[in-house]
Amino acid sequence: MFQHDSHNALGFDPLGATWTVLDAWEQFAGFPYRAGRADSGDGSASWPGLDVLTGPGRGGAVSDQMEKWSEHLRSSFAAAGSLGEFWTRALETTVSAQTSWRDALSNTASQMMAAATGLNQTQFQDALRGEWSPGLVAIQSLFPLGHDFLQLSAECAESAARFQDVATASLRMSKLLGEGWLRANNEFTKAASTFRGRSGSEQDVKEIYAIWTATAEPILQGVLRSQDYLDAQADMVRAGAAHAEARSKIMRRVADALEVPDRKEMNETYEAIQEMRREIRKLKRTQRTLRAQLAGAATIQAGEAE
Amino acid sequence: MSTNSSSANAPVTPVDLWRNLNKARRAFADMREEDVEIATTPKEEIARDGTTRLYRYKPLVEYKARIPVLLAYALVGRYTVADLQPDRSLVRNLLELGLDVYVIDWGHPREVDRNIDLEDYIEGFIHDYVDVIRARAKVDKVNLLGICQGGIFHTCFAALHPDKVNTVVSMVAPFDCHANAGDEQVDRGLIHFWAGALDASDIDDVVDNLGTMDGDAMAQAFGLMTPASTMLKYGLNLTDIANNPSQMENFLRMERWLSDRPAHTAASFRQWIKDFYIDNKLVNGEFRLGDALVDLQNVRCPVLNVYGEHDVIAPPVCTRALKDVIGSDDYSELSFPGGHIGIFVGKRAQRDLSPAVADWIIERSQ
Repeated sequence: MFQHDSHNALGFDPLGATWTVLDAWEQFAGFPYRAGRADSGDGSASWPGLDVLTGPGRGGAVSDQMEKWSEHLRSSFAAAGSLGEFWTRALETTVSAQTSWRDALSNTASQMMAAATGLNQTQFQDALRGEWSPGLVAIQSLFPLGHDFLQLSAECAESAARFQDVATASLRMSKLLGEGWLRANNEFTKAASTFRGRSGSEQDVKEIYAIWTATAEPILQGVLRSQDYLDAQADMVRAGAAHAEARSKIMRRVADALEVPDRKEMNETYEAIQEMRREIRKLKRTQRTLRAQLAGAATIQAGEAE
Repeated sequence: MSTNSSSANAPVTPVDLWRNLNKARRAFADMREEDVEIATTPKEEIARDGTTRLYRYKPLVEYKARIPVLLAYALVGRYTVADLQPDRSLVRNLLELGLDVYVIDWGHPREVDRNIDLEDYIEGFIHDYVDVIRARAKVDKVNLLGICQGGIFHTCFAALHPDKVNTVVSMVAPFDCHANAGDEQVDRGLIHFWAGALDASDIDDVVDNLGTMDGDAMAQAFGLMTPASTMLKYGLNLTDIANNPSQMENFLRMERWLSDRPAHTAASFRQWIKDFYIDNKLVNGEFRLGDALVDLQNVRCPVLNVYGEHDVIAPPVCTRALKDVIGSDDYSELSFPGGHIGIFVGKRAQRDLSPAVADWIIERSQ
């Protein structure tokens, strides 16, 4: 069943194997790609393949039929889109160039992707040599033209790292605030413990409220203006801005893929709108000035006429 | 917090407390929208530009000054606080004292407005609206009354266009954001410290990535300035006003204004924090609007600088710094025992501050 070709690094001929399998399928189960069944003339249905094989005077028809099946297969793969085309070319490269399966995939992928998408060939080859998972490579091949899913992954990792920075900064701020609230609570407890009320009257409750405000507020405000807090807040602001920027990069890539404007493009549009508004304002102001001048001139003329 | 006992010194039981909380809850639930409306003094729209509007208030008495007043509030809150309710309204008071009052409503900026900067606000909107008022009232100059950022905007406009300004009244405006650097009082000027701890590049990064600054975020920042008091605000204190519909309405009107925080456009926020809080450019003579340098020495008209003695958002030392840099020969200060908002919504303000401001303007508007 399998032809062994000593020159083939795979150790077998995959295309030949495919045809053999299809042939067997045709003989025993019917071939789903057949356009129809020829009539042998005696009323019995027969398969064109067999006709080709067994019919008289059909020299060379086997190779014609093989060619047709091969064409069927190619068109089926083509119908499966770029992935199908990828595998088709890879198969042909494997057979014709007699290279290893992995090299065939690498060369085919690089050529296809470089031509179609402008992606980095080295990156793709590195990916296939084990630095990235085959799954990512497969997804990359399906990604719309011109877009780099591998880079997107790197940007997601960057965003996660920046989020980590936000969390760290937030913890530092929370620690300072928490220490402040603890001190405030301690001072309130000390002050409230010396409070002698009137056995739970309404006025007592209000005075306890006042003690809380009087003791806690200055402590908390002191924390809020301390150098430690100001530094922690500044770090938080910087971490937040860096995280927002990392997220923007991801959204920009997604927006490019979906061919919708991203934030940067929208901002440029808004800026253009604002410039137009400013221009309109200037023109209106000039118009008002000119009208006033015209009205003034008309008044002078009317006065002179009198 | 009222109780079922006849004496305020009688013990408060958990049952009493529960009853009072329920009473407060029912009182809130019974409130209607029209009970807590704010900015109800009648006015008409005169002009609009983008999200901004120019309104003119309908007169309540005969005018005593022929030159109108243009009121501008800050960008971080709505002008409606100046007309909170009929008995706590700076606007109504000025109208009843015989002034012709216009107001700029900055509106609610959207993301498309992110590039509106301080030059647009001062040289754009304020300038255009001043010209509209001059044409309508047939006057060469107008009186400007600004609150907080509005006071700074008006003063800058007066420096750039002294020919169009009759007087400037600035209320609780922080002209010098570094003046309180050595202030030992912990509750004062926290925003100055927070902003001052950042670099200009930090502000650029924040604005570039976040865009227009959300009003709720700024409201949170203001709330953070008094953390202990804020914690109690919506607690048992509310039961104090449960039996008093008028007090409850007052409380809810203020809450209504507090919750109506407009966004700050990205460009103006960047400029405000960098040029004022970080670099303090105005009092250093370095603040520019476009190509024009804002030199406060060019302000020649009479100036009244109003500040709150207990203002923690614009500390008095930051407001009063105007005295050393303004060019006017007729510069006066008016202090008032109140906070940043209290000086014009508090009860005493209605009785004392509004007449003082109105008299000062009328005297210079004949």
